[in-house]
Amino acid sequence: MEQVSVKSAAELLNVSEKTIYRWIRQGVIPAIKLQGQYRFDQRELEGWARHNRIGSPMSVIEGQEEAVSLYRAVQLGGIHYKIEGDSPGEIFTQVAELLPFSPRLSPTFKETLHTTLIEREALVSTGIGGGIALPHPRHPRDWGLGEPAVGVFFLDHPVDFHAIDGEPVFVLFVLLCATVAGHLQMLSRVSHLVNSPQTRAYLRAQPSRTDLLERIRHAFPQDV
Amino acid sequence: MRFRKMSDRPAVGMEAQRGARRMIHRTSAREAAVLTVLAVGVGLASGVSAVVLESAVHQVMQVMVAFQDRLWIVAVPAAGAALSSLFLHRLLKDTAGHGVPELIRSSTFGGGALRPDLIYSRLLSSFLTVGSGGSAGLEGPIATSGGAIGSTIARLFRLNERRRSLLLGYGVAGAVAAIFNAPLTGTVFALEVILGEWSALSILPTIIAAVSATQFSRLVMGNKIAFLHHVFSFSTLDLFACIVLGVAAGILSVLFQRGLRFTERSFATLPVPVWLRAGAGGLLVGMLGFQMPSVLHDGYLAIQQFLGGFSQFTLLGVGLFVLLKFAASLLTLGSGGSGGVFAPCLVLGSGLGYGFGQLMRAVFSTASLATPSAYALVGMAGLVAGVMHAPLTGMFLVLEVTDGYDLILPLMIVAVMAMLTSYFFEEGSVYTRELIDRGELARRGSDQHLLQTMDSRELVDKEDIVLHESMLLGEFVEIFKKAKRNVFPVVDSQTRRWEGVVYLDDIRPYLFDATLYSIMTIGSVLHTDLPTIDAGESALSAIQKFESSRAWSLPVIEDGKFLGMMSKSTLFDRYRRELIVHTPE
Repeated sequence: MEQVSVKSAAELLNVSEKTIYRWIRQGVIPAIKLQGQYRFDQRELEGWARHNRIGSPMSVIEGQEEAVSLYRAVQLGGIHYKIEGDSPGEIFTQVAELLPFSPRLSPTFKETLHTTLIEREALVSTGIGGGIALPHPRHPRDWGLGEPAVGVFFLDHPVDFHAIDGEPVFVLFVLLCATVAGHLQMLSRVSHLVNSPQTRAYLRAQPSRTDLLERIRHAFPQDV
Repeated sequence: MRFRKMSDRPAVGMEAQRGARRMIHRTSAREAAVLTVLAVGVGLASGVSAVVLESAVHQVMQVMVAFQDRLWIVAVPAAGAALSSLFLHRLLKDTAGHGVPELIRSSTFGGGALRPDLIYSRLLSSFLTVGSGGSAGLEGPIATSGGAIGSTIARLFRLNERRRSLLLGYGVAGAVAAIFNAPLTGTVFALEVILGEWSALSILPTIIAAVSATQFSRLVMGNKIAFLHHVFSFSTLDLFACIVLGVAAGILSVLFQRGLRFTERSFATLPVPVWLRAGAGGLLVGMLGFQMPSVLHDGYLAIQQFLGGFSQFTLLGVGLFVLLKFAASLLTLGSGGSGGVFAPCLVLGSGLGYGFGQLMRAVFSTASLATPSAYALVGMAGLVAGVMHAPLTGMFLVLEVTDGYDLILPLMIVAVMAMLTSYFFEEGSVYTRELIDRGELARRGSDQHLLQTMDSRELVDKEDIVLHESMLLGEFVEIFKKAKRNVFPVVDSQTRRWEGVVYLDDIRPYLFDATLYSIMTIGSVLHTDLPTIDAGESALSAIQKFESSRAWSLPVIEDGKFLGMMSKSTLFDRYRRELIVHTPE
């Protein structure tokens, strides 16, 4: 018989010790008195808690900070050049083809991704101005990649994305994240990265893979 | 502001409070008076139904007894049970199952609503089953009829659910009182088994209903004591023996309950129509009856023999009788025949007691002991207490039907021991067990009952702020300035179809990040994995969803459309208020 003290019973039931003592006094909780101390039979206590729907402690959707790294995400998503196409739809077909695929991805990954990117674009353009767009799926979803991925796609020729400033887009950062928190952190990093006029000019020059990755690493030194 | 003033001057506040309490008290006293008057009518009506059924079955029994040595008599219970089942299931499409559990469910959960055809349907079907020889009682069906009469009268007067439930109970009291010629039993059965509530509103009118029903039946049928007996005296040794008898009665009760469930399940798996199952059960009962006719019908003749001390049975014979009666009752009730468990309990109890008394005589041959007949009497109370989990009903029933107050001590002991033993093995009674399994047993005023009666629509926080998927962070920040909450519902902008929620906690770090204002959509931070509460769901099932999801607020949905959020705090606040309203001072 596994025995539990008042203290651990309080932890188990997620109530204060005072509550446990009151329950003992009122005779509602099955307790045993051993050498002047109250003890509970663990199995009996658990059964009692289940019967009375008293929950065990569990954090209320605590936004656990995921350690995201744009550097790793871009490594995973890859940097791609000379993407052909005259509309966002055509370009997304290429994007879906070129993104990294692990065997864990579902067989309909490409179609699903393509559809959801277009749906998101239809809501509001992801073109943030200055020739840059940050396409991402309409809703966060677990793609099975294990970690967030950001694919960088330099277009063969600028394409109209109905961006806020009307400027045709020449580079895409496509974000694939499993969780809301991950998506927001990644989105925030990418938009800060491309926010400065210098970076935009630098991107227009289509830097090499290693060069771009280095620059990202320097921009977010705290990311591993 | 007025409120503030009142608390500033406590004397005036207390005066007002006392006035309010007096007023409420007078209202409830007036209600008790009105209900008591109504109870006279309910009692009379249920008394009529009891008398009619009782006399009809006894007419038929007279005829059957004359033919009990013919072989074809074996088929009669089969025909009766099959007809009874056809009548209930085909003609009336009745799904109310056993009568008494339905009464209990309705008086607590169903707001006292019962199909009006229950007034006669169970009378007819049990008349067919029991009249043709089925081993069951008429009391359950009569109680059902009485309950339905009370419920229907309440509907005629357009009474509210609370009063309808009470009138249902008065009807049961009247019916049981009339059939047993036992007003106290009727009262106690209604309070202990059906209403489960002891308050002025339940006790006073229930008594009056029992009085008027009993008096009516006495006018028509005469004031007959069902089982006359000699005066018995119980010695101290007898009282100790009663402890053992009580335990034995408890064990037999548990066997009866479990056996009944087993028989029900076994017949339910037969791949034939319902009425054929009842017929098959009836045929088996008929065969048992051919061997030993006294196991047929309600079996009150056997009780009279046990009590009168002119039973021919030896100890072995009694054992065989109890065994066959046990089997016949399970076959009748378990196969779908219509009837109650009251009579089988009394018969089995008297048989058990009689046998026990004989055994006592054999073992302690020199001591001066109560007669086997005396033990037969108290055995009846034991079975009623054990099977129905109703010790008071068992005691009063035996007291009244035997007109023997000298039995009170052994009755009390046996009833308590039987219920204690049976309660050890069975959580519910033969009536409440299936309700407990379905989660449909909640006594008035209990936590579960309160939660079950509150509807999710009552608990919705009317929502003025909803988000849409295409909203951008910039737009949200504007809305957020006016909002008081941390969870925002997201719905389709045209159809108001539910889509998910957005947690402020997710977005908080980015609220002032202007670079995201025109790129981050609400859709991309949507949580869709939250359980939703249907508008028709009760507060009880809402609480379960809060528990399992650990959320603080959940969306309420009606026909796919978002109605509003329900928050835990609103739920508990309303629950608290409900408790205050429903708990008597």
